[in-house]
Order: sequence, then C-alpha cells, then structure tokens
Amino acid sequence: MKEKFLIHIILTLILGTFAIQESYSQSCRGYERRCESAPRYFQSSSLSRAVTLRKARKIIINQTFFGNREYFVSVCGHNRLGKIHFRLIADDEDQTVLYDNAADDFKESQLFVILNTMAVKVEISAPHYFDDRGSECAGVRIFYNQQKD
Amino acid sequence: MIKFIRNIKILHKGYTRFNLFLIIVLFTTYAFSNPPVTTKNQENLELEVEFYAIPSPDEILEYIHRNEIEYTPSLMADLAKRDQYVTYKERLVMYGVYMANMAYAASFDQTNTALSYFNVIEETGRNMNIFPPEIEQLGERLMQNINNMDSVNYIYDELYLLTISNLHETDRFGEYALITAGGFIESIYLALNSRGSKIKENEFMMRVWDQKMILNQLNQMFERYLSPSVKNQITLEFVELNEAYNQFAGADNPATSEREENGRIVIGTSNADRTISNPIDRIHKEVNKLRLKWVQ
Repeated sequence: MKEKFLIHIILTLILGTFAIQESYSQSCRGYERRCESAPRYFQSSSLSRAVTLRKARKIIINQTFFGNREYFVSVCGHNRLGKIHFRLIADDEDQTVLYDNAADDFKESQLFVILNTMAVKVEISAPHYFDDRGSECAGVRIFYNQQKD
Repeated sequence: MIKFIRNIKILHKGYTRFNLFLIIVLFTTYAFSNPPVTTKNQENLELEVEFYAIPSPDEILEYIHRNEIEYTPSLMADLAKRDQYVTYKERLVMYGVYMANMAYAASFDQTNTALSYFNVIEETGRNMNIFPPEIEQLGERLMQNINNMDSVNYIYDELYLLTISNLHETDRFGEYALITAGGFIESIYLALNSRGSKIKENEFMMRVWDQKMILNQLNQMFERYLSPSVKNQITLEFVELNEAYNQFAGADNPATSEREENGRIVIGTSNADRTISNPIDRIHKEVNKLRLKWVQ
C-alpha cells in the first residue's frame, strides 16, 4: 500500500513537471502587440504572430496577402535581440525578395500596396544576437486597409 | 493508526485521479502537436523554422463579399446539432465553422446570434483544452457589453487571436490546420450562397479564385502537421475541390516591387490578367458538397 502510494507521488511529480514546462513555453503569447501600430484607418489582421528567436534561427511565416489592399507590417523584439531583420519574399518559383529591411537600416515597419493576391513569406531573424543558449520574444504585427476600386 | 491508513487510501485515490487527469491533458496536447517544419540552411548554418498564418474567417468573408451580400440565416450551422460531432477532427472542423458563423452574424449586427455561436465556441474550446486562461476574462467582458456590437466584433477578434496564438505557442499546428479548414470552407460557402451574392460577376469570381492561395497553404499544412489517418481522410475530402481550383491557370508573372516617393512599396505581378474564362460553378458545387459532408 505504502509503495503504491509512493509510486503515485513520484508519477504526479513527473507529470506535474511536464505540465509546468508546457505552460512556461507559452511566455511569448501576445508579444506582437508591442510592435508599432498602423495608422487608425487600418484594421488589425489575424496574421500577426508572436515568435521566439534564437541565435542563428530564422522564422518564416507563410501567409496570403489579398490583392487591392494596403498592408502595414511591423516587427519588434526584446532589446537583447538587437535589430530585427525582416524580409518579405514572394512564394513563387523565383522566391523573389520583395523587401529587405537590412537595406533600410533595419526599419521596423513598412507599408506595402498589394496589387494581386499572392502567397508571401514573412521572414524574421535577429542577426546581432549571439547568445548560444538564450532565446527571446519577438513579434510580427500586420494591419490591412481595403483600397477603393 | 487506522485513521492514518484511511487517509493514505483517500490520498491514494486522489493521486490516481489527478495522475489520470494529467495523463489525458498531456496526451491530447502532444497527440495533436507537431513541431513547425525546420530545415537547415547549409550556407549560413541557420535553422529555418517555418509555419503558416491563414486569414481568419471574417477576413476571408469580408474580402470575397465586400458588403455586397444579404444576411441569410438559413445557411448557418444549426447549433442544436452540436452534440452530433463526436470525433476530435469533427469537433475541430466545427470549431472553425462556428467561428465563421459568429463572424457572419457579427458583420450583419446580429448580436444575439453572434452570442449564441460564442457560447458554443467557448464550450467547445474548453472541452478540447485549446484556450489560454485569458478566455475567462473575455466571457465576462462580453456579458458586460452585450448590447454593444463593436464589443462583440472586438471580442470575436480577441477570441480568434487568443485561440490561434495559443495553438501556435504550444506547437499544435494540426489542430490549427483543422480549425482553419472549417473556417475557410464555411466562409466561402456563406459568401457564395448568401442572397445577393454576385456569383456571375467577374470581380467576385476573381476574389473566390484568389482563395486558391489559401487552399494551397492548407494542403501543405495537412501534409506537414496531421497524423497519417486524419491526413488521409481530409486529403480525400479535398480532392475534388482542389481539382475544381486547378481548372484555372495559376502562374502569373514573377512578383515585382517598387518603392514610391511617399515610402510605400507597391507589389504586384506585371501584366496580371484580371479576367477569367471559366465560371466558378464547379468550385461552388464542390464547396457546397464538402460543407454538406461536414455540417449536419
């Protein structure tokens, strides 16, 4: 009886540790809200995401941008990450780089006018973050505005 | 001594139940969680983590119909039948379907109907353990602002974002794929079948056709994140809709970007043909067929 009881206590501790780890891994949720907002006439998009960045890790978010719309894209990250590198890439055969903020002094927001609906990749990374073990929160915030026909 | 042994027995039973609960929670979390796709870029030795973000049902609906359709409640999923969806796949797909219905009702200022869908979504989400703790406060806020339509729209947005970001943070991309599939099909179904739908007009058809990009991404998500049995099932369900969408020529010219003086970057495909030769009859038929299969 006592042995069974001890086994259950140990099992509880092990499972509890897993459950706690699971809940701690959610710490970046909502981080994208810290990124710059678009002008008021824009609507917030469900495409925004919070991500975890590490050294030598690129995050690629596959998305669809609808045509005849303006999209305001802003990126941000924890201070320790340094500047956030952001590229917008067309998901076509050529994987054309449509925008690279490295050529724009790592500007954290950009307004795009999308003429035709297209599949795009939003790529973000922290090229100046050199901590081998650490990771920090970052976010991509997306707004849109329907253009008049 | 007898009391001590009794206490141990009670504790023992409690621990057994608690452990069973922990095992069930952890199992459902891990069974539907697949890590995002990672690839190593050999040149830079950089790890690439790739995942998907699909527009929410209200964004798809709004894009297709542009406020040109009339509210048609007879099309909406019957909430009285919610207990008939029993498998995990069915319940996730219906979660997406109900989200699309809530967005549809909210977009036509139908507060009470939107609220009915919210209640079922909330109940389903809790039962499937897909909510973060913030949902508690959301329900309270909804009850306090029940007559304010802007609040209902706002709460819909929050509900969707919290659900999706929670699934994303916990690597539950398979569940995200199924919810998205339900919301996607229901949004197109409502846009195509509502009264006043301009289904024969070129611009409307073009916007329906544009959903092919999302369909392609959904197919990729099924392939990457679903377990083999669920993947086989849903891939079969989508075969005919994929064929219908493949009737249209897809390849535009490569995209180009150009910076304007005011700083905006204009992106498009040169010479993109905005006319389509095929009507969308087959897409319409296949969307209705799949929806009929999913929604009783």
